[in-house]
Amino acid sequence: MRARWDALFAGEVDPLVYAALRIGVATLVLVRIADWTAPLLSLDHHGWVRGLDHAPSDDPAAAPALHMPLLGGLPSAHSTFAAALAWARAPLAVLVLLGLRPRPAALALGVSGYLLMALDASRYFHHLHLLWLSCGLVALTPCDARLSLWPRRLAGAPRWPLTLWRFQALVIYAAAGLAKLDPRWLDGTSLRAIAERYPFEGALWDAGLGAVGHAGMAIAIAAWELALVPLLAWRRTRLVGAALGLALHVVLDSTTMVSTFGASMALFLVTFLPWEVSRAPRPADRTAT
Amino acid sequence: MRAGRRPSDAALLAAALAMLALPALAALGVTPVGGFRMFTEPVRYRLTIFEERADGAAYQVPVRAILPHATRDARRVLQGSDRLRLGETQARLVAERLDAIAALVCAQDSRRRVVHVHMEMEDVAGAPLPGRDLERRCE
Repeated sequence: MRARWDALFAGEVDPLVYAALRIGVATLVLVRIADWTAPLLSLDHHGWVRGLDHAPSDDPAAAPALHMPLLGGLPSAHSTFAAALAWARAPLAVLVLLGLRPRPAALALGVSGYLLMALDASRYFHHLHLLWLSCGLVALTPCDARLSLWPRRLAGAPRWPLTLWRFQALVIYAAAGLAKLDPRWLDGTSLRAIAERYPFEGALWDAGLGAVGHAGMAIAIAAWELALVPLLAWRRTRLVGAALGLALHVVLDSTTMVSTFGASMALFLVTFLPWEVSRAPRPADRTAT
Repeated sequence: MRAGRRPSDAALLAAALAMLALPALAALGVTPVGGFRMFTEPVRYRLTIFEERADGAAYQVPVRAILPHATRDARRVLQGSDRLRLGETQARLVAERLDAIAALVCAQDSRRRVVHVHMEMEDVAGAPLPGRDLERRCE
């Protein structure tokens, strides 16, 4: 048991993976929190975000404003506090992107994002939760050893943050897959209802629907998500799992609106590449402090 | 510089359990937040708001009357909910905050003495789900 635990968390990995995650997450945040990319790209959130997302100045409401926080005791979504949080995200994301004090910046970014989301119960999206969660995970990593303005000298990066990233990915696929073992999902009822309300389109969707119908598509998606868990968990099938995971998100992204969810998960899949460096664990790795 | 020491086993275990917590709570139906139950929980919902005035008269308040007071995200959830409409996680979360809607409706018009807010919900197969009812006395 002890050896297995150490095999998961001890050792070192190439610091490049943490730099890649840092840059990827910061880029996603900068793209998602505003509509500045609208003239260049057509992204899902451009359909509902105007200006800076969640900034009171870009989302005015008539007085008296509806104050509907996710948790009691939080200030209004139209308060100065909300404005400060909304505007703080961009400079924090730039700091993370450039690798300047990226760990505290990523932590502050994640906290800001969660707080803004919690100021209004209707703001919750899984893709936003995943984005702010990713910021928190970046804060755990020595992510400024590569690809940063002033790289920190680091001979090797610890493996344990990578293991946590991987575990989070497994939890997400397992949660999504297990939730689909529901009769209303498996007989296609839920998928049909969602596809009637939200845009589900594209050649892959049309071909799948024509071949196996809503129920077949629903079963296929559930099986795909559930299969990813063992494939990614087992070292020998990890690359196959990562490729299948990426394919799943390409299919979903080209079919319906999932905003940054697919791109975020692609970053999680990057962690399953063989980043481990072959160096024997040092005594310091084996004992807790 | 070498990589720092890793956190204690207890801290790593706590982190792993924290990652499991919200999906587990969502599976148990405690909260949809953080459940990652992608696309699996669509609901049809309808919001009904009534006001009572001091003279005893009662009126239905159209949902569109509260939309200008809401955030853009809240407008997306509330718009058109006078009739059954499809939603997911946000609809379930708003159903838990009918007190906020009632407080707004009270604040909109000083003649209102009591506000009733009802959120009716059913699953996609048409089976009724537990709805939410709230009555608020306007001060």
